[in-house]
Amino acid sequence: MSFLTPLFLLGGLAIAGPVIFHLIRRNTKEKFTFSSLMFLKADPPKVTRKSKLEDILLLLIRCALLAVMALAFSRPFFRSNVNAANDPSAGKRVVLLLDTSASMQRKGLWKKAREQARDTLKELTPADSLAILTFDSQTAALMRFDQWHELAEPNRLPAARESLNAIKAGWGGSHLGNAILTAAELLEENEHIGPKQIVVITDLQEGSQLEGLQGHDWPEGMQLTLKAVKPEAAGNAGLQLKPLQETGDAETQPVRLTNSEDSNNEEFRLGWLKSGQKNSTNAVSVYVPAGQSRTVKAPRRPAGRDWKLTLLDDAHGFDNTLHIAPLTPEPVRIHYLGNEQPDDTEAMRFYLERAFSQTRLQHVNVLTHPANAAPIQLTRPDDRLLIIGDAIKEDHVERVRNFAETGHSVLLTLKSEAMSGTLTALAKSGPVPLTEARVNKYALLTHLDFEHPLLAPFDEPRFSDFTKIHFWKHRSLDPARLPGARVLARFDDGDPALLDLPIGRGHLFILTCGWHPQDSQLALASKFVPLLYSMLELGESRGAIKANYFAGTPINLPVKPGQTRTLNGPEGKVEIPPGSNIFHAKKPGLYTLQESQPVTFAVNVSPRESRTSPLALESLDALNLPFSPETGQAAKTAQNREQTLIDEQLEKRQKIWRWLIVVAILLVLLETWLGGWLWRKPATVSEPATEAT
Amino acid sequence: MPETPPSTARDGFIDTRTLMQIRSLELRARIVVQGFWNGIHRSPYHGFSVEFSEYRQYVPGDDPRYVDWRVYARSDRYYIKKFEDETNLRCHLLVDQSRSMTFGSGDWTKAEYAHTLAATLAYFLFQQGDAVGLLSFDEGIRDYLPARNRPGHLRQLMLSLEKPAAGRSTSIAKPLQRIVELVHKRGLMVLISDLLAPVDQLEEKLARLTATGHDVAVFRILDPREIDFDFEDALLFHDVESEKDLFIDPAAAKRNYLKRFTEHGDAARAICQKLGADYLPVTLDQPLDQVLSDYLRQRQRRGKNIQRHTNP
Repeated sequence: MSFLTPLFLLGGLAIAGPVIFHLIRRNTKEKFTFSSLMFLKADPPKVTRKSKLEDILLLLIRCALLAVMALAFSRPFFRSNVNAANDPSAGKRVVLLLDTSASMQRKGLWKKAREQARDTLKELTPADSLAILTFDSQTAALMRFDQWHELAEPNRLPAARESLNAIKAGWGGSHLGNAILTAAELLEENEHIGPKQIVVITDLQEGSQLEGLQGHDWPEGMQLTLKAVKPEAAGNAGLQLKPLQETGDAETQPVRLTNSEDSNNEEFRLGWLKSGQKNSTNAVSVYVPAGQSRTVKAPRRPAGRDWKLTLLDDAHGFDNTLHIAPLTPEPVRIHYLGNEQPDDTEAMRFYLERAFSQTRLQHVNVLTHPANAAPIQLTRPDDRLLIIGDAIKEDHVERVRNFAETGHSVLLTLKSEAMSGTLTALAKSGPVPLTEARVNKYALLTHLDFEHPLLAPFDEPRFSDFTKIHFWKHRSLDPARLPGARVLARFDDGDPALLDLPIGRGHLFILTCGWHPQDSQLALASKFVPLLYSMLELGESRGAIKANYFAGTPINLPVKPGQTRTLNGPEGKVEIPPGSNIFHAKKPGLYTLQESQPVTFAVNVSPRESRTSPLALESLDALNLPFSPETGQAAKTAQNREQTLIDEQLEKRQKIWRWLIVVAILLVLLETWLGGWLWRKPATVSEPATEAT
Repeated sequence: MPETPPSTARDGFIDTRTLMQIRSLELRARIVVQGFWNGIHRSPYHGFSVEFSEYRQYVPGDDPRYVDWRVYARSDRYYIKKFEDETNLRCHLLVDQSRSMTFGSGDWTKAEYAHTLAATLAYFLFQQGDAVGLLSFDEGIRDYLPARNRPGHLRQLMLSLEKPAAGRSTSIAKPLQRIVELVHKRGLMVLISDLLAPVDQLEEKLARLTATGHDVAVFRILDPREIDFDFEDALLFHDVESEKDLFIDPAAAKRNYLKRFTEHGDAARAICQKLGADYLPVTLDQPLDQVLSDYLRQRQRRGKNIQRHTNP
């Protein structure tokens, strides 16, 4: 039997306590003051046999109780239950984490990393088990523990080596934190007795993300070994795409140039290269001191598609190329159902058509349809907003509702009492009567619900003043007749001004007046355009593609149910199965999604990867990671600790202490009972004792 | 003096428990003495005072002052005229004040009992017109009041007796020696003690007292538990005098104790008998008037010099 906390056995010395107390109790039991002891001899009383037995029984119980308690606290366990040599679970569990991020492409790094990995494999004993994970921004399993155990023992190491040989550094960013956490979870999966180890082979660059490691509850007995590999040449400069401004020269792309702290080079050139080209003719030179960054305007892009913006004169080339997708503004179509003339300045249409301006990012097209015409198609992905200015025919209603249900916004303006039928049909409620409100001079907007996403952009003191907008006329309705409607704004006479009736995933906004001058000053107010844009933004866009992505991160493609699409990229053609809209771009480059309108987007190396200076050790120390010790003494301590951990696990499994505590409780009960019995019946015990003498 | 005597115990004696509840020592004594007012004692002296006793023929060495010259004139013979002494008896109470006297298994201690007994005797004798003195002692002499029969002397005596017993050990030899030195006139010596001290010196000192003509009475005050040693459980016995502790199992030690205790008592009794002294063992539960009457009866029975001389 072994003990986890043998020092507690010293508590067994407390057995002396009851023995002493039993002795003391005899001496101090009763003191009788007597006149003279001259006739008495010092004659210790002879304890009769019977009382002696009973006291000893009590004493024995008390001693046993203390002994059992001491034994329980020392947490005993049987080590013989585990034969470390034969039990495969007693071996080490090792997770090898291999960094395959883009920064590992630096010269010499990958070779060194592979050597380190091989060294780690050599250190394994047959009892050990191994899992190999690779990580960039995502963590992937190259070999899992179950795969390792499935293999026959002689095949394990060769298989591991083979899988190591098959991989090479990719283009993703590195999220070291996630990778270590995944490895720790893997180690924790099954209850394993014995040491656990995570071996991380990485370049430990500054850009490695360590989020999530702080304060993590590491599995017991886990050790982390960091094997950092260093590149042959220090220093690195990288390129990062800056967002284009909405206005300005479309051809001059701003880029940020970052030079790492350990860099020796400060002079770089920036130019456009075609694939295969080594030197640029139109390159500009940029001066960036080590450890600093500069935002510069790239030289004008030459005509043609295949150009890449390239940084020259840098030691490591993995992050020196920027792929820039040609800018395509997002098309947006806004439909207006109304019977108004385009140049009628007294009509709503006139103001609506002028509300949206064309930007480099968005091409808004306002389409007007007569309200009484045939129902319009609203199925294109760029159909974003529908505004109803006049009463529509009943066959329109279903399409409008469908449009809203798929997550779009519909604005219904109650320009007149005649709109009541349209409102009732769209809301699918009982009849909602509309009456012309009696307005005294003008009405103002009050009680605006700024918590609603539509009005949330105005929720700031400098934007929230709507009192400058006067309303001459408006219609009044009872919001209680529209179940589920939320009043977003009211007129100062208490009538609702703007209501939101959710339909499916979208919204039906009901404005109880028009914005034309006859009804109000709304169209002329500064709030009008932001309000319309807010409505437009509330509608879901159907997965518009951004222009720039980072390699290794998932890309959300526009949803196209039931259609297989192809994606052309540097990796060749990729089939996107129907229903799937997530794509992992492994390589940087330009990708084109083949659709009715092909969409091109660029994938570049994450700018974090450019931060290649070694990670400050302080930041690692601060994370309090369970690093494995390196020195001999520390290793010995670690070995002891490993043994302790094994012991702890064994003890936890066996839980002998619980039984000991149960025994102790029984002893306490027995002692209490016996003590009580002896106390209650002193006469019956002492009388025969007296007679015996 | 109360109109009615306190409740009496069986045999017509005063209940000791009731008596000991009376705080005033003098009152206690008065109650006990009430009904005992019988002049039993006679002085061993034939003094010269108003009350004529007898004539005796002059022998050389007699004080010529006491020669009755009238008788000489009538009969031409020298006669010495003897008178009854006015102070009948000179009694000295020797009261043990040692700490062993503070023991008492009941409601009162041996010291309280002894004081009451001494006070009773003192009062009794004082009322008879006897002179009473007091010598209280422990390992040495604590208080000494010479025997007198003055008004206020009894009060002083009572005050002295009311002092608590504070002495450490009992040494009988020393006070006996001292009283021999102090008192030259013959009289009654009443030793009130538990005699819980070695008896080897007792004989010698008592012998000196009796030799000087003193009438000696020894009241041995004992607690019933000291006599019976009726303890059941093993106890840690604490000696009040020596402050020693002894852990004793009474069941085992009783026989031995009783043997040694009886031997000690017997030795004391034997010494007293040998010297012609009265030996009266008294237990704390004994009524005081009984003790007193026992004592007086014993004296009468022994027919010593106390027999009353009839006037011629």
